[in-house]
Amino acid sequence: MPPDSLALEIVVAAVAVTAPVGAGLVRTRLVRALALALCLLSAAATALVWLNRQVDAYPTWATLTGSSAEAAPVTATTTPGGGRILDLTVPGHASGLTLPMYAYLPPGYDTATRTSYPVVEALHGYPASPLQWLKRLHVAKTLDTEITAGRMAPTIVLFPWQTTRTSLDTECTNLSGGPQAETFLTVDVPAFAKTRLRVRTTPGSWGLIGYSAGGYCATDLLLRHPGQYRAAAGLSSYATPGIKVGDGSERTTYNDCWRLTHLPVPAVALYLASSPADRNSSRDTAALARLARAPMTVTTTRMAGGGHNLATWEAMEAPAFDWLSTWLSRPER
Amino acid sequence: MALTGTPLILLAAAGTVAVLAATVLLWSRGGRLRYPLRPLGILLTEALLLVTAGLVANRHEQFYPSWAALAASADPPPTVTRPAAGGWDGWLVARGPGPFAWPDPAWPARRLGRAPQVVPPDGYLTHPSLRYPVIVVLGPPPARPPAARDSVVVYLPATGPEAVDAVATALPHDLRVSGHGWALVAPAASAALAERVLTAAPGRFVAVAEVGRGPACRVAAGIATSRRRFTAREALAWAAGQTPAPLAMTSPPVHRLPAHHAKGRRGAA
Repeated sequence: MPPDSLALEIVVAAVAVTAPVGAGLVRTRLVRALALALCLLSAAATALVWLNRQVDAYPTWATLTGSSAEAAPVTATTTPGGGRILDLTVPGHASGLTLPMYAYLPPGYDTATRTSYPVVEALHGYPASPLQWLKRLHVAKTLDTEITAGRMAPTIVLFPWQTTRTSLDTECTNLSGGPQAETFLTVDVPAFAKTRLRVRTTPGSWGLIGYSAGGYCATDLLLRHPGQYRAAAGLSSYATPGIKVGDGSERTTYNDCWRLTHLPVPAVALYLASSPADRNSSRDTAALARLARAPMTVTTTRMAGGGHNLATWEAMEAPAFDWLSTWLSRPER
Repeated sequence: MALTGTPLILLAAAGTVAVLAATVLLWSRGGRLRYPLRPLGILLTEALLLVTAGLVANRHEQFYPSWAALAASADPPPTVTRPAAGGWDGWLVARGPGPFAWPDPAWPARRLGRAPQVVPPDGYLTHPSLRYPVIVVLGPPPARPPAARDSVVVYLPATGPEAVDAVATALPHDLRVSGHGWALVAPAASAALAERVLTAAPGRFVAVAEVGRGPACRVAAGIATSRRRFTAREALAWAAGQTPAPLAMTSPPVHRLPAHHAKGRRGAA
């Protein structure tokens, strides 16, 4: 019964409902105090399990105890004849991190054995895990639909973990004295993918996508590694990491507005989707679009309604993947 | 009452305190009714406490900024769109496949030199839902200009970025081509011209292939180049491989998201 399962949620909810009945019946003060404590704990647990089911921050008990080295096996929803999901472990020779990763292989991958594919690295928000893409945003189904309709070229999509433990928010940076998440995502993941999957290796074949904190990651890694990535899409994203990197660089080189103002701009393409109701993300999107200059291009889209939530990102994801595909090199036979 | 407003949070907090107080006061009163009232009071207190905490978190993070956002299913209805047929598509059906000289008499020949040669890819007319990337080849075209896989090739015996701009402005009306993700093929000897073409339209070209001696063109980070010494045919094949696949329109198209599309900087999709 994993911590993001419906079964666990039903169990703790049942305890939360029955504990007050017991508390109302018992006469001993000590037992009553214990029963009331159980009421509070079970109510809090019900809320926390529900929250965890939304964000999938802790998909296994191992992740709850501080390790993300064990990936939860995933059965993602794909359509018949669609793509499939692989569970992988990326040994990070450059970063020193060894972390799990899921990979979406597009329809036809197993039969077109001489074809190499463009790649998108998909980054998640915080707190969350790559499973949020697969289980809550139903990304495999979206990719199947877009590829089958010809709106997106067959593409390999990678869903790497971005931290060594869920409680540590890396924002895809190299933390001073901490995990080198940026190196893992931009060096180790591409190197591993080249050895294990039929990916295209030219820089114009790789892109990034992310929502919320993952949107910051996508934007930032695009600006910092234009030799590796051609385009990035940020959904409800930010311009700054919102954490302390350890050397003050969150105010300079890890601040994308600072980068656009102070450093040469690469010839990359950025897509930013936001909902005006989500004020923080909209403000950062507007700032990035204002500061970007040639040879970089920025496309922004705004959604009426919405907010900083799953339903908004689910509505945003298909057009964002389609847009990425208009920039990345085609599959190569 | 706004979902993220202070009044609602205060109301929820006051409700929590009131229900908690009532539960404590009625704990030993109410006769036999106290047995169902006790668990109800506890449950209601817990629920209101969680609602209050949730409202505070929601106000801080703007997960659901309005009641409408909370109620809405943001999944947009599927939209099927087809790109408008290219202005030359009908003429091409009658004419048959193969290269052709730019048929528009409005091509400003005197200023921009000889009209371009255009070579649509195989399958262009049989896939009317697709838009194709463009490869612009600078320099005089060969006698039988070759096609490229899944790309429209435009041979441009031109002298400057103005001619490329003229092509880029006119072509999306005449053929089903994408607005960006193009490639440039130029003789290595024309590196300076290639650089001018690239910088004149940021975002349009994603790759440049040079024919002849090694790469001489300086390009911004993010534009694909090759160190190989290409023949004209190799350069064309390599350039085609760097461009995106021919694609159908996005669905829902960007400008038809549940809201509206605000175009960003130039080169926007």
